[in-house]
This record gives sequence, structure tokens and C-alpha cells, in this order.
Amino acid sequence: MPWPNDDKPKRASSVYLAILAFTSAVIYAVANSQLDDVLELPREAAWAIIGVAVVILILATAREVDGLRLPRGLRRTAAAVRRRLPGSVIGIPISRFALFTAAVMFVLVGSVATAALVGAGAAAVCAPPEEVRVLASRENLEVARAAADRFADTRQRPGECRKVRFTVYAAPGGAQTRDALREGWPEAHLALIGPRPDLVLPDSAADLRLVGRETPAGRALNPAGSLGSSPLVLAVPERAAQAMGPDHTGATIAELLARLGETGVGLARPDPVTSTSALLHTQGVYAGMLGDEPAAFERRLGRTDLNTADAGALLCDLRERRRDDVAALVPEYLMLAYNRGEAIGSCPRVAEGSPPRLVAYYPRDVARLDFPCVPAPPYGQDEVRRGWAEAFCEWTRLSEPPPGLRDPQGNLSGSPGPSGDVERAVPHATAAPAAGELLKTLDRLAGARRPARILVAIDASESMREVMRGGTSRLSVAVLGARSMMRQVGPRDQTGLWSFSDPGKGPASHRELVPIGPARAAQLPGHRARFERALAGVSARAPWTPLYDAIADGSRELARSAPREPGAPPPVRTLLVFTDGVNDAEGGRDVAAVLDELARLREQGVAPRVFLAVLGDRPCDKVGLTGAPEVTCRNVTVNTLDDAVGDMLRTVWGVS
Amino acid sequence: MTRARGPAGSPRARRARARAAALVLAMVAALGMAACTAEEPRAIVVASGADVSPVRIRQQLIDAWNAMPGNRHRQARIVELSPVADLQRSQMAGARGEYDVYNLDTMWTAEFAAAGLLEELPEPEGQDGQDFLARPMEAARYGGALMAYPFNADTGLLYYRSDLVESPPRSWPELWETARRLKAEHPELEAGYAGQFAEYEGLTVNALEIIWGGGGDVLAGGKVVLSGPRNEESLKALAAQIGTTIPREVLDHREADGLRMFAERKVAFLRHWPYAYHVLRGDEKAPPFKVAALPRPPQGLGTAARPSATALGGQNLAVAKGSPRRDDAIDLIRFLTGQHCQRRLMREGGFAPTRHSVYDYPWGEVSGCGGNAADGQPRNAGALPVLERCTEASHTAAACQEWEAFLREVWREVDAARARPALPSYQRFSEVFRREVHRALVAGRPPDIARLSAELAAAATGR
Repeated sequence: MPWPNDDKPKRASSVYLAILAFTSAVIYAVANSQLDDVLELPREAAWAIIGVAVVILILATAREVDGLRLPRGLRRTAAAVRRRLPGSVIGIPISRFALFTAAVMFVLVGSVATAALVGAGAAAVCAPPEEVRVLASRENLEVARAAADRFADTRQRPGECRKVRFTVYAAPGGAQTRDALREGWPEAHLALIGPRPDLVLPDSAADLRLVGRETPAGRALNPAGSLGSSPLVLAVPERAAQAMGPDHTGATIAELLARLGETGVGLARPDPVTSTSALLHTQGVYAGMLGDEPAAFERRLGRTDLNTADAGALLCDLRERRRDDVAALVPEYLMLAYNRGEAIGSCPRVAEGSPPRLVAYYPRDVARLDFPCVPAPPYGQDEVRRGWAEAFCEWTRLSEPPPGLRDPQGNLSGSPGPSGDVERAVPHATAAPAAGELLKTLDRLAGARRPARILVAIDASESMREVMRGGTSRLSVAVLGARSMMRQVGPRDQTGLWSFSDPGKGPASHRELVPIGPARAAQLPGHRARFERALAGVSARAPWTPLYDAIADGSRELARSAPREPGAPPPVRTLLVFTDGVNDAEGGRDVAAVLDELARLREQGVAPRVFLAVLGDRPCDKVGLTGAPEVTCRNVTVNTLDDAVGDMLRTVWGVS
Repeated sequence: MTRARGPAGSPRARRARARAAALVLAMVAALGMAACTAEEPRAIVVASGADVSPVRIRQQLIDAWNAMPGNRHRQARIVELSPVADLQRSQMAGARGEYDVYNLDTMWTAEFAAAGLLEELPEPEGQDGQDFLARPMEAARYGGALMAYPFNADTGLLYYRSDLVESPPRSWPELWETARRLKAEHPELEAGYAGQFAEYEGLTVNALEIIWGGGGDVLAGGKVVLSGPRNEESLKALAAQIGTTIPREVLDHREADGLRMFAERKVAFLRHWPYAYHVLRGDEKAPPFKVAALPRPPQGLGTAARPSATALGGQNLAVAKGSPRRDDAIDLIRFLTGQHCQRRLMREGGFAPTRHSVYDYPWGEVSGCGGNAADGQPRNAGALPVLERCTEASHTAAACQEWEAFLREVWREVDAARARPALPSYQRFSEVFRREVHRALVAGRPPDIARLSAELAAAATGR
């Protein structure tokens, strides 16, 4: 009889059962993936630990189990284990009952856990992954998204809970995004741009230089990796490439543009205000220019009638219009995507490479895009998300660039596409310019463009209360459109605001809310404030809709000469009308009268450009004015508003 | 040993009294200053998508709360987030202590609750709980606990050309057949049927409704149940419409595209949300149309009543976990989801309410449709367009009655609508589902059910 004291078996059973209960709990936790997150243990390692613990327990107690006779080797091991285990457990005998209970429990819990694993059932639901917000650019959105997905996949093993989810979104570009980054992403930017980013993936170090280091948020933007790089190219239609000659890499941008001019092919470039690649291109182009040459260059661009905010949209336009008479200043990786027929801008993928193919020429004096990877300043976000952002940047340093980009040695990642489109290796281009140079280029650009004199006319009739998608009224979209325009206009542009009709004046009337101005750039802040106040007060209460009268009267108003800065070039007269396309004013003008008015002004050389932003589903051809050469009409929704207004402004600024 | 005291009138005693008085005064002054300089508690911060309703109705409701007597120290303010739904979700999910109230799309409630981002809320008191529509209320729960209050609702509806179709089809096979026939008979029709088939959340909803309407399901008891003859048949029938009843370009369609097609008389049937009613009624060129429920599952499937097969949309108001203004936030949510605010949301913002009593309100009399009673509230210039026009003599009683009938249809459907799967990983689940369905439809074939099931099983558990 091995038990001098009757308490011992009971205590031993309790200890044994407690240990088994703990083991069972661990098994359950493993089955539910809880340990993965808490201890960061791979599930296989956790199972191995459980197995070892169970074996140790059996060996430690086996000697005392009646009738259990282990082989000699195991007996020795058991003895060794017992010697090394703490006294409270070793050598404590155990009753058959305790062993039986323990075995039943182990099998039971093991079965439940296995069922949970095999069935992937409801019990094994993972906690939502960590949400990491990634700010990309409009041009690199798809590349950034693919890289984030690839990184998330590398952190994911089959059957494991997803640890991280990247929400990648595009910044509108330009001063608005730079302000947001510089100011630490204040609340106002949440609606205008998107969530506070945890990770920023700009196109170039130039973006960071423009953000500057004057603010704490700006100083905290430090690159910790790079997605890769992409040279900026002159993408020439294949048929013109032969005339351009075989030297693809040795010339300056000025030489390339001169050679292009000889081929008779036009030139297009996205807006440098919103596209970093276009800004760097323009920096290179303007560098060798004097006096009015930038203005002449901008007029040359204006002739192609391709005015887009970014290179993706430009290439999409080329594809949709099947233009083979225009070369484009774009990044190499987007040109490759274009040639491969991949989805680009808002254009879907096409089955074959989209003709005409483009061939790359590499100006040696234009900086390349270097796609820095920048963990965002801690705008109040927690350390876990910052950790993910840093891990992503670290990963970009160690992994191959996404297809279409180049590695630090300049080698292209992925397939180069049809031979001759791009060079396999290109010489290193110049470094990204300093902030001062970039700002100077933006100033020169503003000076090279025609200023605009814009009158915004908003339909304030009751029909503008109609609700568009998601509860947005037509009037709300119109007001958002006018705000978008005010955000995008430059210091040399003038703006005014009307609503129509004026209920106090009769059917064919309008109300001047803000006269066209300001006369001087210094008055711009006050003018903007006045414009914003007036917009906030616009309501859809007018009983009549004198659309045609508003166009005719607005055109006449714009035709009048206006005070402007001495020496400024004549502005482009522009009437921007937000309407639902309905004209309803008793005794007012009809279509013919508007067309006559425009023809009269045209003869005098003072006809404005008229842009009709139609809110709702009324087709433009039903509005009835598309016959006039000055009139451009487009159906607009809240989602297409910014682009529509931006395209209008670029068209106006680019007027030759 | 006691300390010797001087006589009461001695200089020492006077000095002591003066010192004591000065001390008391100093303490009072300090307390007063502390009271004056004590920081006002921070506002109750409500995170919500951009308010783009005609009269910024959400802001108006918050203004009404702030103006209430007794709310001086619990003012609220809205932080507007991106109008893009996924970016709203991302900002809210990543926020830490910035917000007190979230205005969540209904399908995100589970994710936020599972992530521990929400406070459990007290049940509505007494009869008030019965006033909330059942389905929106269910969608506000997670694991049985009430995590939010339903703010506004949304539901899928079938719009059909009443000049071409006498009565709405009651099943998907009937709908496909009618749509095919109409397209063949009317060459001016470019499509028999249109919905939201681009690769975004709209496709998830549209495909789910077709599967549900065929008597099938995607997820039951937390498990993927996609394999089965009913689902296969529904998806096969849908794929067979591509290029025939449903033109290929519809595979890029979101809400605005199908609506335009319908308004231009190019399609016989359109699956859309309630707001399409107002858009179409406001378009003088739009064809005559009626609104019905989407097809329900065929009878004889073991259920006595045919369950709804339309997806529930809308938004819920929830309190952020650990909010220092928890109790005030709950009061604010109760206010915003109360009858008065719900009426204003509908009347001025055009949102479908989440309370029976608001649908049951005598709108006809209020709007003057047949009526004479006044609602006792000032008329708001931004009232629901159709409702407002009912006050004009030029609009017929018939039009107003039609609007009321529409309202009843919305009520019925919202009350019966099905919630999308309440999964913590719904976002990923939906992405996988729509990606595979879209790929298959682009190829003109039904999705590979076995592969899709496996991928969805992983996605449903967050893997």
C-alpha cells in the first residue's frame, strides 16, 4: 500500500485535473486561433507545446498507475522526468479514476477543438483585422493597392486569421493634399480627402519636399522604404517613333520635344497642379526656357484638347479616342500598362494591347518617380498600426518592386512588354528638385496659362430639390461643384456667382450673389469668403427656371470688359451653369434666342465658353444648345463633380 | 498640554481671525476660479458620412438637440467623413477615442461590435421597442446584444414599366422570361432587366437577392451553404441573362446608370432603392412605372409565408467603446431615433424611417393629399419633393395616393427585408463574393460554386 496518508490521492487528482483543465483551455484557445494573436505563436508550435506537456504528465505519473507497465526505455525516461519535475507533482500517485476522468476530458476537448478546426465553423470566427489606412496618389493607386495586398498575403498563412487589412485610397493631389499632410490631417480633410493615413505612398520625394518640414507633422514624414522607381518618359505613338530616331536615352527633354515637333505629332501632359509626374516633367521642360517660352509650350499642349488631372486619365482618354496623333508626357509604368491593355484611369482592361502602341523616350534631365514609403506622422493613431506601416516599408526594401516599376539598379520588374516599347536598363536620371524649384515651376505655370473669368450660374428652381443618388439633392451637387471650382482656381482667375431665377423679379430673372472679381489678387481671400457665404445661402425655392435667359444674360455680362491686374493676359470668358437641363420661364428666351445671342457675341469676338453641368438624368442633347461651338455639356454626379470642374478649368487655362 | 490662548479681543486673536478670514476668502476665490475655469466637457462627437441631403437634415437634428433646454452642457457636433462608404468605415474603425457616436452602415455593425469598438446599449423602454421595425432592429444586434439603434432604413425594390407589364412577376424565372419576351417584342428596349452589377457592394446585394429569391442562401448558421441545386439554378439563370436580357455593359453599372436607362425607357425592369422613386417621378420624360417587391422564394419550400428576399440597407447609430460621454451619447441616439426626428428625417431628408409609427403617420392629411388636418409643425422648404408637391393644387389626389401606396410598400419591405450576413469579416466576405460572381458573369457563366464556397468559408471566418 503506497499511501500512508489518505489525503494524497485526492490532492494529486486535483492537481492533475487542474493541469489537464489548463491544457484543455490551451487546446480550445489554439483551436479558436486566440493564441495566434495573444502570444504570436504559430498554431503548429502551440500544438507541439501541448503534446510535450501531455507526454510529460503521463510519464511523470505512470509509475504509480496500477497495472501500467512501460517499456524499459520509457521507464528510464520517466524516472529522469520525475527527477527533474518539481516535488509537488513528481511521484504523486494517481488513482485509476483520475486517469480515466482526465483521458475522457482530453478526448472530449480534443474532439470539440478538432471539429471546430475541420468544420471552420462559427466558433472559429476571427477577430476583425487591424485597419491600416494607406494614402496613395491618383496615378499610383493600383500599384499601391497591389503592393499592399501582396504584403498582407505574405503575413498570412493558410487557415490563419487575417491580421491586417489595408484600405488604400487616392489623394486628389495638389495643394489640398499637401496642406492636409502639413497640418496633421485636421478634421476638415476627412470629408474632402479621406481617413487619416497610417502610411503615405506618394509618387516622389518631391511631394514630401513640397509638404516641407516647417510643421511637426511635416517633419515626421520620413521615408522608410520605396516601392521602386519609374522613369518619366515621352511616350510617342509607334508610327511617329520611327521619325524620332533610334536614340531613346541620351537626349534632353528639350531635344526630344524638338524632335517630336518635327514629326507633326501633338503633345499632351496631365495637369502639373494635380499630378506630380507632370510637375517633374514640366520642371525639366521649363528649366531651359526663357521669357514667354513656357506660355508658348502651354499653348502647344492646349491644342491637343486633352486636359486631364493625372496620367492615368490622359492615357485612358488616348485609348478611348484611339488617338495616334498625340505623344504624352507620362511615367513609364503607366505607359507599359497602357500598352498591355490593362485597366488604366477609368478605362477597363481591353483584350489586346490597345493600339496604337506607345514607345518610350527617356529624357536624361527629368527626375524619375521614386515612390517613397512613408509611415505617417502619429495623428493620434496607435502603435500597432504604426508598426504595420513600418513593417510594410521594411518589406518594400527587401522585396522585388511591383511589375512595371524598376529596382534600385534600374532593372525593370516583370515583363517589359513588346520589344522596343521600353529600354531594359536606363541611365539614372537627375534627383528630384528642391521645393523652391518646384514652387517656382508652379508659379511659372500659373503665369504661362491664360487666366479665367468665370461666372457660375446655379439653377435655384424647386426642381433642383430632386434627390439624386444616396440622398444628394441636385442643388447640393451644384453647390459642391461651385465649391470645387473655388478650390481649384488660381490667384489670377476671377469668379462670380448668380442663381436663377430671382423670385422677386419674375420668371426670366437672375440674382447676382457675387459680382465677378476680385479686381486684384490681394482681394482674393475676401472674395472667397464672400463666395462661400453666398453659396451657403442658395436654396431651391424659385418657381421658374429661366435656363436660357441665364445663359444669354450671363454671356452678355462676361462680354463686358473687366478690371484686371496691369499686364495680365486677357482672361478666357467662361460661363459654368449648374442645371437639371430644364428651361421653364414664362415669357423668357428660347433656344433660338440664346443661339442668336452667342452668335452676336462671337462676331464681336467676346463670346464666352459655356459649360453646362447637367445634374440628373436629362441627356445633354435634350438641353438643345449643343449646336453652338462655345457650348460643352456634361452629365454630372456627385462622384464625377471634381473631375468635371477640373477638366473645365484645364480646358479654359489651356486655351491658345 | 494645551496651547495658551490670548483674550478674544487681543491683537494676536485679531490677527488670527484676520488670517483665518483671509484663508477662507482665498479658498472661496480659488474654488470660484476653479469653477469658472473648469473646462466645458467636450462635445458629443458624432462620426458620420458627409451629409448631402437637400437641407443637411442630420445637422439640423443635431442643432435641434443642442437647442433643447438642459443640453447646454452636452452639446453635440458632427464630424463629417468621406462620402465614400469604405473610407468612412476605415476612418471610424481606426479611430481611437475621437468619436462618441458612430453612424454605421447597417452591415458594419457586426464588424465594429466584434472588434470591441462599440458599447452595448440599453434596450428601448416599454412600448418604444415595439415601435422599431423588426429587421432593422435585428441588424442592430450582435450576439443577441443591442449594439446600436436603427437610424434610417433602405431596401431593394422592383421598378417596372406599367405600360408594358400588367402585374409584377412573382418569381425570378417569371421575371427573366417576361424580361426576355418584352425585349424581343420592343426593339427600343436595350435591356429587359437592369440592376447594380459592377464589382462593388451593389453587386453583392443584387446577387444575394437573386439567390434568396430563388429559395437559396449563401450563409446559414455561420457556415457557407452555397452548394445546392437552388443556388446553382439561380446563378445559372442569372449568367444566362448576360448578353441577352441583361446587356454586357450592365456589368459596369452602379445606381445612376440603371436609373438613367430606365428613365430613358431603355429597360423594362429595374432593381433599385426607394430614392429612385423620387428621381423618376421628378423626370417628366420618364416612362409610366410602378413599384413592387422583388421576387420572393417559390412556394412549397417548407415555409408557409414566402419570406422576403430583399436586402436591408440603412444606417445604425452606435456608441464608441469607452466614450467618456457614454450616457449622453445614448440619450442623443434615443433622441435621433425618436419619432419626431424620424419624421423629420423622412419629411425633410427623404430617408426611410425605422419606426412603424412614422410610416403610420397621417402623411396624406399632413401634405394636403386629401386632407384638411395640419400637422402642427412648420412646413420646411426642403421637404420630401413628392410630398411637398402634394400641397400644390396642380398635383392630383391620385399622385398623392400613389405616393402613399409607395410608402406602404417601402414600409412592408423594410420591415421584412433580410440583413446581409452579420459577420465580423463582412467586408472581406463581400469582396470575395462579388469578385468571383463578377468574374463569372463577365465570362458569361455561373461562378464555380465549389471554389467560391471554399473561399467564402475562409472569408466568413476572417481568414
